[in-house]
Amino acid sequence: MHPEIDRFAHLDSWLHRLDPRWKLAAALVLVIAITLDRPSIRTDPRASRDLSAAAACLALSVGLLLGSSIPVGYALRKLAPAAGFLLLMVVFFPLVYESDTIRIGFLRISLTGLLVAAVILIKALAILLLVVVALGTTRFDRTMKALHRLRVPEPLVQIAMFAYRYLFVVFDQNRRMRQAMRARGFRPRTGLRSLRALSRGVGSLVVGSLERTRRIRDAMVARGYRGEYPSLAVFRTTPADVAALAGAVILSTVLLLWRFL
Amino acid sequence: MTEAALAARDIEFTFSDGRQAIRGVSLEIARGEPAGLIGPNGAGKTTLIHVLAGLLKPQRGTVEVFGEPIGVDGDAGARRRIGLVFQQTEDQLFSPTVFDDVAFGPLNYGFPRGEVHERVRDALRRVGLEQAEDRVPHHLSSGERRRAAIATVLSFDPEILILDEPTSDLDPRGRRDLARLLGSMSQARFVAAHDLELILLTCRRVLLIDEGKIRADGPAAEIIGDHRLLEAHGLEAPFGLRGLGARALEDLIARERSDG
Ligand SMILES: Nc1ncnc2c1ncn2[C@@H]1O[C@H](COP(=O)(O)OP(=O)(O)OP(=O)(O)O)[C@@H](O)[C@H]1O
Ligand SMILES: [Mg+2]
Repeated sequence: MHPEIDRFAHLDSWLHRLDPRWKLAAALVLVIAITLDRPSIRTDPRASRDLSAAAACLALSVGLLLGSSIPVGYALRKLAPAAGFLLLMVVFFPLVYESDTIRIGFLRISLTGLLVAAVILIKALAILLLVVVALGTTRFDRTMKALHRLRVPEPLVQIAMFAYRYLFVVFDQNRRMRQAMRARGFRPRTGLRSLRALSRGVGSLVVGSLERTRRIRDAMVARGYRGEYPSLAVFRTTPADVAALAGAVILSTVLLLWRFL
Repeated sequence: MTEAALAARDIEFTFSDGRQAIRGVSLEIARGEPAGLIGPNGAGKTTLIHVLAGLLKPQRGTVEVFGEPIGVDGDAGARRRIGLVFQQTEDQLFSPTVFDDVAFGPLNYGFPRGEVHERVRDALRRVGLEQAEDRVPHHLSSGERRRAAIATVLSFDPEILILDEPTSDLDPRGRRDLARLLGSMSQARFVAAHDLELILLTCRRVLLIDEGKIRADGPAAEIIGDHRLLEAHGLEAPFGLRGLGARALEDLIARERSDG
């Protein structure tokens, strides 16, 4: 169990209790629906509907977050980098859209662009939050096993599992290498000499990873590995799981039909 | 005649960079026999072990496990009878959790699923790690990782246990526990170690390897008590055993065993 990634996976909420296979399926249905629900901004009377639909999606995600008993602060911290990036992407929309412009000082701001930016931002946050809740309420290794049962291709699942196991090893190694360089008088400065030392360091990290890959393969082969990662995970479907997926399907349908109402 | 548990004949192994690590090694380990492998750094212990376990393919020579040739990457048949604990444990534990790692062997080798839980618990208990099931291997201390690595092979009950430098990161208690565990087993054991005390306590027979060749093969007390031999191959008996000959060592072992 990973102390950071799986930090709140041990809590006990109805979301934690769901079978991860059903939970992932339900989350996937919602994410697809939110993505498919295209804003119809250009036909203006429906603009307010787009905004309310997006807001409803975000409200759903927030509701699920509250229901999961994952601390809100933790979720916000996970979201912050992605949110910052998104904001950078949409901040120019009001400036480049041409319709419905108003003047604020020397800026020409498009209300349509503003609306599109808001809708995209809100929906993206809703999706990210949904993912945080879905992944945060199950131990990562169990999520992987569930994906495997859902017939996600074996290589993808194995890559994710090894990433989970080795990401932090590589971070640590990188930190240790920098410490070792510093302990022997290396001061990172801009300049050709430090650049060369650093690139050599990176080189040895890469070679180290290749060596490591070979050693891991040896260790796996020595214990009978033949291409498939075996698992003992037991999954049990309960009525709550079926209800959760059904709920997700119903909400998705409502969202997608909303524009025709 | 019953065949040996492990038999190697005329093994030669050269790495791809041209360095020859094994130069004509032949050896046999009998069923149930505990044997030690000693030799200085770079002598070829790890390389030999990897050849024996079928992870490296020798350019010459053959390895047989209970009379069956071991193929590299091939059939799991001969391989499942060998449990190998690597010198570097960091990469022996590759699973998301300790439990998964200890279950990896038994599941690959097709033990009944219902039995696997029990086997994992039992293996972890034998190495004193029953609390660690759910932990990420990366966050174990190196001694805990060593214990977990040993559990990963105990769990499928191999008929030959090969350990490469198993005590290098164990504390004195852990080392003693391991010696006791090894002593209590009936499988063939092949232990490579710089820890001559461990070898003395757990192995009746010792092979000395240097520069890729077996330089001596005989009763543990005789070889470890032969200070000139050890010195000639860059080895040293630990402080407490220095100056003790074969007889004195035998007595010491007998006393230690009856205490332990
Ligand atoms: N992948 C490799 N490529 C080239 N040479 C190697 C490789 N691995 C080991 N060697 C060399 O082969 C020789 C035997 O190495 P080996 O690891 O078997 O020694 P060892 O007896 O296990 O040493 P130690 O006591 O340090 O563990 C050494 O000279 C080593 O430098
Ligand atoms: Mg070695």
